[in-house]
Amino acid sequence: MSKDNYRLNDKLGGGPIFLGAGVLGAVLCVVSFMQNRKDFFASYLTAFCFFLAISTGSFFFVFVQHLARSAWSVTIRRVSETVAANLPWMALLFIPVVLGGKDVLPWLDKNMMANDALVHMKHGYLNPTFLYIRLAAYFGLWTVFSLYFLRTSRKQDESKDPALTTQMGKVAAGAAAVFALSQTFFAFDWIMGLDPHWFSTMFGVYFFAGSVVLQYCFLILTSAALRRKTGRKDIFRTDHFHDAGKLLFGHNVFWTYIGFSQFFLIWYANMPEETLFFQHRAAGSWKFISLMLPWCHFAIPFLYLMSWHVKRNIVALSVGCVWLATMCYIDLYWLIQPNFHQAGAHFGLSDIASILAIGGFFLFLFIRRLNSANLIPSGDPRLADCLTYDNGVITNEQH
Amino acid sequence: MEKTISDVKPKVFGVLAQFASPKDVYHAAEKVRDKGYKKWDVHSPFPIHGIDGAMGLGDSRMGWIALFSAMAGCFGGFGLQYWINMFAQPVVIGGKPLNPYPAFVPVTFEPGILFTAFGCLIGMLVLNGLPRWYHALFTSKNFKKFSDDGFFICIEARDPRFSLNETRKLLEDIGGRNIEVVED
Repeated sequence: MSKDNYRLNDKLGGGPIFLGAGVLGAVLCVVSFMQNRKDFFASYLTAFCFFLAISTGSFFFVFVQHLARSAWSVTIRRVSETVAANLPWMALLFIPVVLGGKDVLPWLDKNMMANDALVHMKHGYLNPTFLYIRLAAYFGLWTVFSLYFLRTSRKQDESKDPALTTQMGKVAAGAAAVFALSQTFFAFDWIMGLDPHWFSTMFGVYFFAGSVVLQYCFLILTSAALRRKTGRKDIFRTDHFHDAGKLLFGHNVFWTYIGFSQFFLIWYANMPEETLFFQHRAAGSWKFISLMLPWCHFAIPFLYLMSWHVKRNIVALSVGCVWLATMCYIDLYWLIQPNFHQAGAHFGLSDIASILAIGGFFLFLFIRRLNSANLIPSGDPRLADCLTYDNGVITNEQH
Repeated sequence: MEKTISDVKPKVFGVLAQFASPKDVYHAAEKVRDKGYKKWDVHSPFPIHGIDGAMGLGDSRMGWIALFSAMAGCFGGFGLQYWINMFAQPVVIGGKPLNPYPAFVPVTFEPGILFTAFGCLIGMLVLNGLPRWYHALFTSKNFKKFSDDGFFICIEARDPRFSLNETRKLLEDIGGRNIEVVED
């Protein structure tokens, strides 16, 4: 440790390109908004939830590492800390959705609130005042906690104070409770709420499971980019990728378990107020996506990621991550857009514009912030354990 | 003529050497590995992290055994339900089709897990050569420390590179103590 203080001077590139993509996307968003408001809001919400899930999933990853006092993940944790700290920016990117009002959430329509029996009965929860209070609470809490973890960890880069690790472990316990409730209710309010007649208590967990899969995809891909950029295979070790790959595999199985359980109970009980969700997703081309997800989101990645040879090969693992991230987008598309386009999926300009706009700004802000400090939490007392971490697979690889 | 005990000539099983610490036995194992020995083993009271790499062991076959057990369980579980519902005793339940495959998922999954557990247990025993009543190393008094504080390397006589003098010398050179020839 003495001859090397683990200061990485390399910077991750691509910032200006993403900023350009964001600006281009924003212009295209305006165009698509002029053309068709409904298309725009459907697409914008889908892309927003995709990038929000990366941030909330990363937030989850950070506090779980602190709760578990894990050493293996120290060097790759900075990526997650930084992307979780995009959550305050996500609040700004959410403004168009809020301004959308009843074009996004149909129950905000005064007529529906007064005359629709089911919506009327849910008035205690589904009312605008409470909706916006909740929304402010989600983003407020996410901002406070995500910035706390990033700033404390960066402070530790300088001070090397182990007491900060103890402190973060304690805060992580509170963060877990806050996160579980806020993300669940965000999914209830802004995804399940698109169809105010339907409900599922599993829904929040389903969104959570997808967000963690997405988070691991992002973490692995970014760490792979950092490994290539810095050339430090001793810091971004194959064992780290292998273990992140295992967790990706496990959480993808968890997503399947939750998705299947939700479907299974509804299908078996066969009650009209529950089955309408799948009824909507059996119409037109939605049916194709409904049948595709179990194969492409679960079965193929399951078999692909099973072998450790794949998980230890950074290129092969990255291919799996790109595939799964795409599936996570299609999954969100399938959750959100049938509420806007009943007849079938139509992927168009508005979708591309929203991905470019939100993704461009999201990645630009992420890269800028990541480059503004050391690329790894070099002050973490568990760094030494992380650098010698060996997950016990016998290989002839040179580390 | 009937054989008596005294007629049975003891056969050399291998050479046993003791090491002072997990670290010593780890580095000794690397040297035995590099000499090209194949039929030998390390004995320790607890698992030593990375010892499999130091011994040059290959990838375990357990993964494949587990995979095929799991597939046998899954296909068996699904096939059993399919055969019952479609052919042996077709009954319409809850207005569902005769082949309500989502309903078969839990019972497809469970034998998959069960068979994997069986496969892993039996596979582990077979690959380890267990169960057995007797092992030649139990004749060594000193070896009893393997379950207390002793770290051992035993190179077996069936290894093609084994030679009583050279193997003994190798174990001495790499820091082995209390070297003894174990007879079967």
